[in-house]
Amino acid sequence: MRDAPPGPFDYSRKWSLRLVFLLGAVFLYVPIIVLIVFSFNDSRRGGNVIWKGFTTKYYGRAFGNEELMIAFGNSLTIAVISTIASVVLGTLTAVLLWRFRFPLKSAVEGLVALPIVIPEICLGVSLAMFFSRFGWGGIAEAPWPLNLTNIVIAHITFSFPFAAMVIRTRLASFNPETAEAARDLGASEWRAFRDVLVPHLKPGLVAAALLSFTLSLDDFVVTFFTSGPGTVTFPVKIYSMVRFSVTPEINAASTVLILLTLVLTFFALRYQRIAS
Amino acid sequence: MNTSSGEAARPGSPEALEERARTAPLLSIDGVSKRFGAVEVLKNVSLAVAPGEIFALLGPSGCGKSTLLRLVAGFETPSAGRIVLDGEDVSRLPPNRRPVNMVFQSYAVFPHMSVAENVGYGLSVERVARAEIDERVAAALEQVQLADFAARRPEQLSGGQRQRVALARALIKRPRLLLLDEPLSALDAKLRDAMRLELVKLQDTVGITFVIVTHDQSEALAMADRVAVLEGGRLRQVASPAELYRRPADAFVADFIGTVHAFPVHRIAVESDALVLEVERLGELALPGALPGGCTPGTQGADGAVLVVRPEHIGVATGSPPAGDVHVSGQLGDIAFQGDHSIVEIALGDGSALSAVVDERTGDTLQSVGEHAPVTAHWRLEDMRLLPRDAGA
Amino acid sequence: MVAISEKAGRRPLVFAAFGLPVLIWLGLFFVVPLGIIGLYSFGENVSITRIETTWTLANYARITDPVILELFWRSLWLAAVATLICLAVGLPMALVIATASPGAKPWLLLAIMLPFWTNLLIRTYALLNILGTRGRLNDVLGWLHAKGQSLLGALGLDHLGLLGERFVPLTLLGTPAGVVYGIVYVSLPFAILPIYSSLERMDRTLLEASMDLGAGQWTTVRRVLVPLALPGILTAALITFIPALGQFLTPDLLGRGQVDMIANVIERQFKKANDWPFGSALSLVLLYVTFILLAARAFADAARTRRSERDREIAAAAIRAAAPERRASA
Repeated sequence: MRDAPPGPFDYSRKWSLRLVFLLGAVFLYVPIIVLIVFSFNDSRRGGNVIWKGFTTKYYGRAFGNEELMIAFGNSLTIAVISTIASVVLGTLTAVLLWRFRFPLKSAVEGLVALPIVIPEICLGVSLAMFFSRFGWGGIAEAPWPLNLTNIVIAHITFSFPFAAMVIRTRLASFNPETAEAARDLGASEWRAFRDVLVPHLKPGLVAAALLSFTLSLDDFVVTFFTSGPGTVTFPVKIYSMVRFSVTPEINAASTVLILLTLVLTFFALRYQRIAS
Repeated sequence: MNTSSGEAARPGSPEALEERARTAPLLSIDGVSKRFGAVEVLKNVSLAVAPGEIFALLGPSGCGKSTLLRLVAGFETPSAGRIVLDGEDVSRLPPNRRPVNMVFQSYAVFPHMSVAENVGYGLSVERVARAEIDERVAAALEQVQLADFAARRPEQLSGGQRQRVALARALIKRPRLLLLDEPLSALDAKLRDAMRLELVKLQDTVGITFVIVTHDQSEALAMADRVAVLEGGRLRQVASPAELYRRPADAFVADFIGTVHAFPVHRIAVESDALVLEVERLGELALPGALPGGCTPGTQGADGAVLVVRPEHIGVATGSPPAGDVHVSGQLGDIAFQGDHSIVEIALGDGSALSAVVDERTGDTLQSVGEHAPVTAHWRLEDMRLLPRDAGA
Repeated sequence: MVAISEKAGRRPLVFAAFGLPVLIWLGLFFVVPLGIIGLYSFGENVSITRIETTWTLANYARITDPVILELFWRSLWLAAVATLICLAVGLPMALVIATASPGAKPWLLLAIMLPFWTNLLIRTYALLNILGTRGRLNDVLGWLHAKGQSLLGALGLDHLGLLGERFVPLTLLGTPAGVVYGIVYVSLPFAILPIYSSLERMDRTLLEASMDLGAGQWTTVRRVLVPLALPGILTAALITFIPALGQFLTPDLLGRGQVDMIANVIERQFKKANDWPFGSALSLVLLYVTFILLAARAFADAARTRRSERDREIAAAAIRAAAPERRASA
């Protein structure tokens, strides 16, 4: 038999609040679910709003769309490269702020946080200007993957602060005396870092990597400004498809991206839990 | 509990309070049980609090006393039973509609309000006029000696000061009943004594019924008119402090209030005007008096009765003990000097030990005798009590 | 947990090994680009491909143009409305999560965050199907309308025409309401988190004390819960408002060109109008607004810290003054 009626602050058991939560969840999930459902809609024109029948052919279309697949390949490449660099840069940042005391430290902490605090469009625009002014000539015509350099740089800039945050959390549980013990036993700074600190950080590194990967894969605004005709990424390609005409093919491609993000997020959470 | 019938009870005396608790209680807890999921935290507890008394709920941690307090305050609802206040069943009434106020263990002073705003909060919620609130807040602060602190903020106050704010805040509402959750536990020793006196004086001045929850038996004994001892969710005994000390209902209460030595009883036989007991380590004893409830004659099992005596009543003799006393031989062990008394350890033949509290002179004598010297622990038969292990079982 | 803080000067080489890459990266790819748009904002197009920084204020002067001012005003307004809605909806949702059983809590949090980890473009695109005149929202409203009509009919009131003749679908795409809906949709999970974390850390006994003193549920929420959760609520407001102000995708896809916000105009300068100086000036103004809000928050925090430090000093002085008296009343 259930216990007494809800106490005064059992908000989570009050029906009125449960209703609000439920409505909020419905509000958040229904559009995504509808998008996935309508990727199976057999509709050629009309904006893919009316349900006309079930088909999986648009998945075939999406996978057969060469430009889309190239864009997907670009996105993956950019994500991999920028992830590796973000984790490295993020680790350096995290250790820098954790270990050292120096003048203007809080200014540096603020500076590191800025790329993720300012509106994305400002970051995108400023980097676009930067590359047009200082871009090394015909970078866009360079062979793949060098032509993606600009986008990679942009992605690293906004992901490494996030990576640094995640790694910093993991650093908090590190006992610096173990590194000192290694030094005491003869290891150099570099070896102490590599043999003692990095292994401890590993779960944090994995979580940071998964986070950076997801951020890179999902980014639109910054990429929109730093990419060009020959360096289209998956979200940018989808955007141009949407501007052109709305078909279930877009839904299909989007669903694939959603699934990919879900899988990555799942693993990121697993590692985050192990890390803490 | 038996009151001496036929005697006119003094007002304010424990007997008078019990009388009033029986006939016209302020708070009546009737057969209350409380379950959280599968765990039963309170089991069929019934007690009554008389108007104007200081009543203590005493017990070890986990015994259910805090839950009982929260049930009275209204933050929990009983799974079974009723809570009756002034004749009205308030069991399901929300806390803000009960004429009961609580001083929380952490004091729960609102950090975002000043002292005056805190104290006046309960009145502002009742939509009392601004001018009247200010007046009553000033009076309430005066009463707890915080008159100059009206504009201060909680983070500027010490723990003791915050407690007074919590007190003033609750008392200003003139509740029928004031609940205090472990009021002295967060204070340091010196402050504790001072606060204890102040609380008793305050209660006397305002005349509001206090119900105090505490795990500290010396606190309960010192402050309360009557005490309810709880253990494992069950009520063991309700009595005045003196009654609890001198006539505990069972072995648990006896051990919880002060300390006792307990000797398991192997057999009880009832003879004309005495009980003949076969007691472990003490042999056969004839005890005056009647069989207390919960003890049955015949062979006692492992959960049966015990015979208890308090260390304060145990004397230590180097020679032969006084005639008529119960005595046990042993070896003198450690003597802990405590100033005006000493705690003496006597090692018994079977490996167990007794502790006795002796006066200064005896302590000095024993000091000069030396460790391992043969001594005899002794006490009067009348100082022993036969008790069931569990009065409620 | 052992904290260390080594003086950088003690091991300059190691410090440089960690510090230089980060500072160089941020300097080169963050500060310099911002500097460039700063310079461009004071420049003008001298040819199709070149911009010269002539230190002109013409671009900023254009911002005072009524059309542009109205654009800023509209963006601030839409972002503010969206933020308020997020707070109003986010607070009860955060309350439910914060007071849920420990077993349910992580799942509820996950449920809220999951949509947030989906691509922004995809989430905004998904709303096209929902908000259109033949979209799912209007389907539901139409269904409710029909149910309402039949209910009125059952009550014999249908001749009064209370619900109108036919159901007129809501037009949300291409309207400010639609854009606000979109901004709320992409921001809501982000708003819930700081409020949740503030509620999570709150002392429940304070709420109980309020009720004990006679305040009802609503009064307790108003006078105790919200003031104590205010830091979290303000953080939520800030991290919702700033991105909302700089939103590009939502007004672009859902506004259908009718509802431009600042970011859309900026984008147009760079992608179509080729007026980079003006676009730079607009971007900088957006940045200034962001910085002002962040600075305001920082000042408020600093003021609060300073005030409680001052309070502690007063308390310490009071205790010192009281000590020599050594009375029983503390």
